[in-house]
Amino acid sequence: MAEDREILREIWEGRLPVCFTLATEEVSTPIAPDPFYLMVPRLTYFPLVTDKVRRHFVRCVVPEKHDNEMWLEFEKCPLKWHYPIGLLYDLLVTNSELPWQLTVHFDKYPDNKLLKCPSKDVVESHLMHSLKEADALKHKNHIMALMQERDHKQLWLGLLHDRFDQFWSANRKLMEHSAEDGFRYIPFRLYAPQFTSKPFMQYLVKSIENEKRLTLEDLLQRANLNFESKGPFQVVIHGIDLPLETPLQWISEHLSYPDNFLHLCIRYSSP
Amino acid sequence: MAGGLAYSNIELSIRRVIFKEIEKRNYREKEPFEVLISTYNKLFDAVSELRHEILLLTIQNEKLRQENLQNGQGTLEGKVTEKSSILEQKIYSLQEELTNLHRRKGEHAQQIVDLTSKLQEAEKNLNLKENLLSEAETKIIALKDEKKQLEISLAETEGGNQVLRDEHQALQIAYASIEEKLKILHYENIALVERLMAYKAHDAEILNKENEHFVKIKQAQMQKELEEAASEVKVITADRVLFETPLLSSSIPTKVHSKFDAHEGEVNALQFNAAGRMLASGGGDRKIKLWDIGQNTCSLRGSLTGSNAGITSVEFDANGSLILAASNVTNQRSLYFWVLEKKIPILCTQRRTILGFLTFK
Amino acid sequence: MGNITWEEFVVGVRHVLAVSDSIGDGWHVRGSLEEHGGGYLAKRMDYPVAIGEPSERTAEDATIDHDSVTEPYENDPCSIDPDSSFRPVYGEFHVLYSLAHAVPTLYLRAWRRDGSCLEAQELWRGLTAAERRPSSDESERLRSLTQQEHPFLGEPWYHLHPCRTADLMDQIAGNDVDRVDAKRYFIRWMSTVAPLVGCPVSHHYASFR
Repeated sequence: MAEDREILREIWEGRLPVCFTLATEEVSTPIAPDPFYLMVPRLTYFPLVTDKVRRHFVRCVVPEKHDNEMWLEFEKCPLKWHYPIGLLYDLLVTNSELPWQLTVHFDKYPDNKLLKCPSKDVVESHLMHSLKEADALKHKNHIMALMQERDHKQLWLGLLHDRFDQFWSANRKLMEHSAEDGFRYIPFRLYAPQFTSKPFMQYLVKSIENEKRLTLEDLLQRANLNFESKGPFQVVIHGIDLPLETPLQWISEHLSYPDNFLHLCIRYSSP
Repeated sequence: MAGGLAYSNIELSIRRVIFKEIEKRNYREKEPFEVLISTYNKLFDAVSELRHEILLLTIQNEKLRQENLQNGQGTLEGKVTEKSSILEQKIYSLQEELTNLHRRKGEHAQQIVDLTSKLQEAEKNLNLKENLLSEAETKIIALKDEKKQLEISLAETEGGNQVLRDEHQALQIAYASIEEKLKILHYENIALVERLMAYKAHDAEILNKENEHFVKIKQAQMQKELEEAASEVKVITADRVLFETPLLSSSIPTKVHSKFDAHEGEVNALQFNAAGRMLASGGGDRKIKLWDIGQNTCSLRGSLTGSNAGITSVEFDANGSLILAASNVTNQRSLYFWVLEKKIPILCTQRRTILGFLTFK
Repeated sequence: MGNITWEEFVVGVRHVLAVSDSIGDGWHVRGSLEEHGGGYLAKRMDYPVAIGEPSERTAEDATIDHDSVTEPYENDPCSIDPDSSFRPVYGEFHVLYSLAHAVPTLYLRAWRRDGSCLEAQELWRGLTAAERRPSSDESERLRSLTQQEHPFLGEPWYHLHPCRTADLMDQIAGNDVDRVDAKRYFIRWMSTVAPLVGCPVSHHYASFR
């Protein structure tokens, strides 16, 4: 049940350097503001760590926009705030030029593409929603239903304030399973934009089949897609390449994001 | 935890690979930038703080400069004014500090006063409570004594009661025995009385017998005398009879003179007057009627009213001009005087006892 | 049991397609039903909602004489006032199968004629007025639409939370001891949930043959 604390810790402490710049067309002061650098945790969501960014840049836009929702963009692509930061980076950035250059906008919120996020409560309910879905796959929703409000709050606050112990003391309940069986289904999302217009692929994969532990390779097989047709690829999560023979149960317990999902990106090394 | 297919262990080699990957990633993404960006953030924060301070100071500076200009000190004494303005600033800040301290001192003094007054109040309350407590204690002692007293008197009363009960018991017994005795005596008495009666009857009989005997003897004597007397003849002359022995012829009335209804109710009293010509009758109808007695008739002459109740007795006076009558009422027994001419009573008295017969004297 | 499998979902979808084709209701399949979880049911229709832009309305009314027809209109957003109140919108309804919760879920979105999206508040206001029904607590809960990323389109859509669906279907199933027929389940679910968000379900769907 998620015993490799060292791995858990390393994953939790993952950070990315980000450079935030205000969109040039929105600058209203004579001097453009300096870009803002920040080390952001890979596991969290942008709305939870960008308060300072907002404070820094909002002075420099016209006063009518001071109350607008801030949104981020990378290379003309609006960033979906409900994806964990690490996932966004793995998905969008192929050249690994660091720090990650992001543009800050206050105007023309693309509400046909981005969910609205007026407050941190929306992030909290999104997290809870994902946790319930993951638990439904893992345990038919038994554990989330049994957990009290207090534990739900602990998960949220642990993530919000970057407290590993607080988060995992509640999260380990969600990683429980009977010794023989593992999880009912593995909660994961496979991101392979080269293959589908859907934002992600999700299908049912057990952790044990025919008395055999399933591995990452088995998961990819069940997608019924020929990934190799486009060349050599890797499965990337948290910025690392996962060996295909890793058992799914272990991956799900140790490498899940705080929403208890594995967000796996297919990345091709070809240009 | 032990064994089983799902035990989430993993070949150490795989884990090592993964761990190495993580290390590589950190080396790539985190380490080069971490220190740099954190220092940057710190500097950034420091800079923004300093900017803020500068802003405040410039504002202050402007204010002071304005004040200086207003005070009329020109730019010629620039340096001196600068120095004095600096000194003034210092004085100003020190004065502020001083006022702050004074204010705090005042607040503290106020607090001390409040606390002392609270303390005094609390002590007063405590004293009051102690007094009440001691009062209550003395009350308790007094009540306990009373209680003791009452218990003693109760015991005494009970003793007395008991004694009385015993006496009563004894008296009851004595009474019962005496009653017995009384009964016995009573019976004896009755027996004796009977015997006495018997004796008396016997005596009476004897006496009667004796009387009879005596009477018989007397009769016999009488007869004898009579016979003797009868045998003697006396001569009587007429004139002797007329002067010596008054003769009254009396006879028992055998014939009713007249009969009439005199009163509505009963007739209680009758009285002839001295002349014998008038009859006064008093009756239950509360009237006195006066009748003239003729040779064969009685005619009503008048009736006298005024009595409250039936007339029980009537009386003429010697002259025949007044009538005295008594009447009988449950509560009042009255006496009435009538003057004959008047026909209403002229006097009336009340007596407690029934007047029966009255006579004038 | 309040859940159905993918296969049962497909059965229900095919039934709806059959009926919809016969009555011309407009439901069609997107994606592929052959793939597990690879397709969904979709329908586009004019939304039975009268929406007006409040800011415009009040500005206009300030200059217009208040005895006119527009005054009663102000209190009743549903009255059909030809010039400014009735702005028809169109909406799309998608019925997807949720793998995690094993129930069907509803996604919906509404656009104005100019292509801009409607917000949840506007939808609600329009719907409650159109239905002319006081909203009870139960229906409010069922109506708790949240914004979600559409699993196929990747855009923000309004979504009825699926974890209540299983309970709801359990309640509705009620006395049925046996496993409910997939078609019945599907139609029961659809006819309960869809009308709440303005998508009417004709009685033809209830004929199972």
